[in-house]
Amino acid sequence: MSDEQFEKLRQELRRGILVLAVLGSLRQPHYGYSLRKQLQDAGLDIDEGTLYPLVRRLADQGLLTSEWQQGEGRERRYYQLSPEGSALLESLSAEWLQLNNHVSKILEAGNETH
Amino acid sequence: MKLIDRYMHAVAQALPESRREEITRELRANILDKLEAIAEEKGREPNEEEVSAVLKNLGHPQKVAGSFLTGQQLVSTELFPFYKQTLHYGLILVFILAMIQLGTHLLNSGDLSIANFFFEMIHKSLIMFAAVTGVFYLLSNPVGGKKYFDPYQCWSPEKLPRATQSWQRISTCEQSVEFATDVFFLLLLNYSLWMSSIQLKGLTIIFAEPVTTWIPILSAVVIASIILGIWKLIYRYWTVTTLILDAIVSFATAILLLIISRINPVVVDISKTQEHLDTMQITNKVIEIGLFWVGLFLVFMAGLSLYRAWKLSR
Repeated sequence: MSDEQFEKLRQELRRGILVLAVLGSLRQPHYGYSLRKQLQDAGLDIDEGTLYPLVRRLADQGLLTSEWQQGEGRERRYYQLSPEGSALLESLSAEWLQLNNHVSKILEAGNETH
Repeated sequence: MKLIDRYMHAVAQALPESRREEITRELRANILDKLEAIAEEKGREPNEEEVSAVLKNLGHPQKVAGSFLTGQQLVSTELFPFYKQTLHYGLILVFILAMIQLGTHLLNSGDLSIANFFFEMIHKSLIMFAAVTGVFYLLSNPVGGKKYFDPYQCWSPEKLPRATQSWQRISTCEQSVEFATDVFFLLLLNYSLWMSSIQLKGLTIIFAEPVTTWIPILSAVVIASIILGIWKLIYRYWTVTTLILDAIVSFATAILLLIISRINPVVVDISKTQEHLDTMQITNKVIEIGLFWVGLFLVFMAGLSLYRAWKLSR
């Protein structure tokens, strides 16, 4: 398998999970850069070109609320989960745990047969 | 002008006005945060090179702007096969219209004007392409997000083609050309029925008298071919019945074309000046040879259809 193929599939795999990670991180308010730092500290390095548009898209869908705040002489847009986003995060988390469980079983079964 | 201002200006240029202010304001705040982090790390303000590297890392302004506008597409992937099919049928229509124009021009002036034919084809194709794409843009990006209609809703496995052999699939391209050619010949043969009286008076070239006696029967065969062609364009696969019908139509057309190819001349110049006399001789020779070979080809096609019908019925 070529690196290009791997990268394409990796991105595809990460795309859905990133939404979950972003929603999970925004239980507390964050602005763009601090959100990226938090995800990075948790071991999830997301490209800025992916993260910022994703946050905007989630906000457009009503899953996040946003507010401009002045701080340290500059303005920043803070995002946080909306009630709708919280409900969705709960359902998505359950789905993710279930999926992870199933896929792990499949992968483990595959390893055993080898 | 600072690098960051230039960058924000370039991003803004690629954004729709309604979202320009909101996106650039936020993007600028994010970039400033990043620069601030660099300043903290280095213990000094970032220099121009470092600012440039941050912007470069963010990506080309148009790419960045585009990433905020996802979901914008001319035609959705779901509608794309339907879009391609519509363009295909649009091209058939364009081809037929251009052929009619070519035929009318040929009958009026005696010139074949191939260059004009290609110009008309390109011109009409572009208009058709823009119109179809416009409609599909609206279907793919409905106002309010609610779909206008779903082209894939009405189907059932029972209605899928009963095709088991690879050759049973009828190529839309070949069938489209065949259909367009049939319509063109039907209109050409019966020009007196659809041309205005002024246009008819202006004609300088007409079919010779012996040919006109064959026109009704040839028209009937072409109409049969068009009806069969419509069926083939809709269902796009061969059955034993359609193969036999196709063989009959091809054979009947072949016989008629071979008979007409023996008539000389096929077309005559009726202008007072007889200005096309020289070209008429060449044209008639070309028509004679053309009809003969098309006739032979159709005999072969009739045979092939019968062979396939026999193979399919086994």
